[in-house]
Amino acid sequence: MVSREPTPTVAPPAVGRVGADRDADLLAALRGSGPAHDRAVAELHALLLRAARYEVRRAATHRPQVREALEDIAQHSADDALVAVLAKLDTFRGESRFTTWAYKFAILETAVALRRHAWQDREIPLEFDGLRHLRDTGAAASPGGRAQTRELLGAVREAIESALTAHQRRVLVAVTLDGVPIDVVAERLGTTRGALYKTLHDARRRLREELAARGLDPTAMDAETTP
Amino acid sequence: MSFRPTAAGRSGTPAAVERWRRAQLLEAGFDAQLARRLAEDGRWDLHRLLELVDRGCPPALAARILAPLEVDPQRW
Repeated sequence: MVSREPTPTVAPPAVGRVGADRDADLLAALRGSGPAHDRAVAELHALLLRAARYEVRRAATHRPQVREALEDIAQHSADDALVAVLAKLDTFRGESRFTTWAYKFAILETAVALRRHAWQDREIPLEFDGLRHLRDTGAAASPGGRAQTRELLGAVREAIESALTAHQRRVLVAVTLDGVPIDVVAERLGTTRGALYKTLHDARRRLREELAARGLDPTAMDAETTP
Repeated sequence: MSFRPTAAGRSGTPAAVERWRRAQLLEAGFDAQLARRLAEDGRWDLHRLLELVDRGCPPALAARILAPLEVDPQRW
């Protein structure tokens, strides 16, 4: 598998900036060993923690329930980001500044931690009932469009129930219909997001094939219901 | 610096997660005793277990196939 370097789209906050030379020194020390390596790890963790705190505080402005756990989430995210950066150090190709590249890991891990935190006190339903979401909301513009939507939703519901394996159905309904974050499902199953993405991909392909075999085209509904 | 999971890094209490994992296994046809053991042991990847069962693998065999290396296969 080819490791892909995160694309640096977000610059670190000013407080985390160090010079390009310092970046190179930090990277060299991280790739080395001994006391210099340990100091570099501590410096990287401090950088990631600043990034995580920044991201968590930003999220807290929209989600008051996060405020009580700000520091806990930031620390956890920085720890996870540090582990991820160190594990992927060899994949850094120098296409961006090292600290910018590392900062992306903090953003990702903070997003994951925030999603998990949102589900901390919620139980994933034992019996997924996400299929209830597949009902006609009357969004189609015309009576003909509404009939088409009803037919398609009914076919999708039937295809989910008949064309997917039990586990494909479980994952698809949880993530796409019940809205359970994929990180949360992965954590509870003791697996990885990648494994679940693969299952979702297979399930969606199977559904598309099933709908096509019935002469239905989901894109037609998109065109009808889009204003 | 600590790498232990904190409350913020978890998406549910251990009891709730274990209950949920056990329910998934029971629904997939695992017997109650095996479901309980696998649910409480985070070393098992339930996703892969359930995929194997989906493909027709008997639950007990799936558990043996995916048992961590340090687990004695004779127990499964």
